[in-house]
Amino acid sequence: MAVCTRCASELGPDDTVCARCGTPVAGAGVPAAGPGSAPPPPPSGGFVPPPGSALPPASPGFVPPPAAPTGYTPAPPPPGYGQVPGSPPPPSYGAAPGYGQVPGAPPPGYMPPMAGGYVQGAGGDGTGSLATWGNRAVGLLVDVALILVVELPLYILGIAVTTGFVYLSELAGLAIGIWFAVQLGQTGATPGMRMIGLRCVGQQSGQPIGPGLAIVRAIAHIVDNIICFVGWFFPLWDKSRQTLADKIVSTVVVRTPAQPFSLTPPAA
Amino acid sequence: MSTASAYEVDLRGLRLPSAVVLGGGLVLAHLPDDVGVPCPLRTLTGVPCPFCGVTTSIRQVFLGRFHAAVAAAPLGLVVMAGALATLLRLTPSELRIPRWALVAGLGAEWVFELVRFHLL
Repeated sequence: MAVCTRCASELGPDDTVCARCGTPVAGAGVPAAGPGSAPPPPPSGGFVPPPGSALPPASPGFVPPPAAPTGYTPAPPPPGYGQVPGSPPPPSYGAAPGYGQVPGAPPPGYMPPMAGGYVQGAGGDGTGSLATWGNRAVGLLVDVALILVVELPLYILGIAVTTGFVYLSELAGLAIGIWFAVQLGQTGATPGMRMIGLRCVGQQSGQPIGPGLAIVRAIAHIVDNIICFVGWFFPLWDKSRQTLADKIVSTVVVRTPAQPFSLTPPAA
Repeated sequence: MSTASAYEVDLRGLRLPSAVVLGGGLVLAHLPDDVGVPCPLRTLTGVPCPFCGVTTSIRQVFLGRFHAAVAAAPLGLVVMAGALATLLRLTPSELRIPRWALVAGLGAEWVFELVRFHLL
């Protein structure tokens, strides 16, 4: 299945532009020039070229596009253009601005990987923008609270009954911390982050960083702690809103739509 | 100046944290004892970090003891000045600090703290 080079949405076999972001499909016959120079769409009920034809022949109902201005070279028709006989032209053909979207602008929620940090525009609900320190702090507090729910009763038992429970509480806290880090690596979010609407991704790739690097990131938070906890406050003033651990493993935390609370990632 | 040679600081949204710093300093000044943030590095190893003494320094400023504030951590005065400037909207929205200046400044502050704790 072909996917859009910009937003990775799945493309249909006849799509000449991405239905989601309006990006012309490579080799789909849409001129690479801007929307202003794009030829008009064929009239409805009009041209259906025969399968395999290299160029659309003149036929009743087919109105060839006007002569291109000097210097304009239309892209050659793609192989298989109009291969489904009778199918209407895609409604979005040459009409990306009609979606109410600025031509060339990413759709809401789209997060292109950018060198040098995520500082791109965000969706109307802030989706895709860098998370603020406040967002991240609340997400972290939720995660810490979840760990304490398990750890604290065991710790109290350790004081009241036997010290073995103290070690058990520490082991439980460590295990939950690793579990959360693995979730972050696999899906980009811990339970607290999902609830607040946060996602941790690679600064360059824009994708979750994987369990191994996520555990390294969790260990790297030692650096945030060791200097009077100042590292945790870096997102307040850092241009990329990164903690020192984020800088070490090159990650950023971005906003996503908040999800209902769940301990495990929702099924895809 | 290229991005690699400068640390980019976004000063927008720092007014509330600045108010917390100054308000916190004011509260600390009225507490009977010097209450600071326990530095994990110093607690574990005995070696102070570059940010050690900043809380004490801010508290001393609010007590009017500028000499003691400098003696605790010169960085505290820089933090206070920055917080005040942010609250008064005297700072730009963004700042590019040359990395060499950042390293030199924090390095000097660390050396100062190491000397203060008689480790150098």
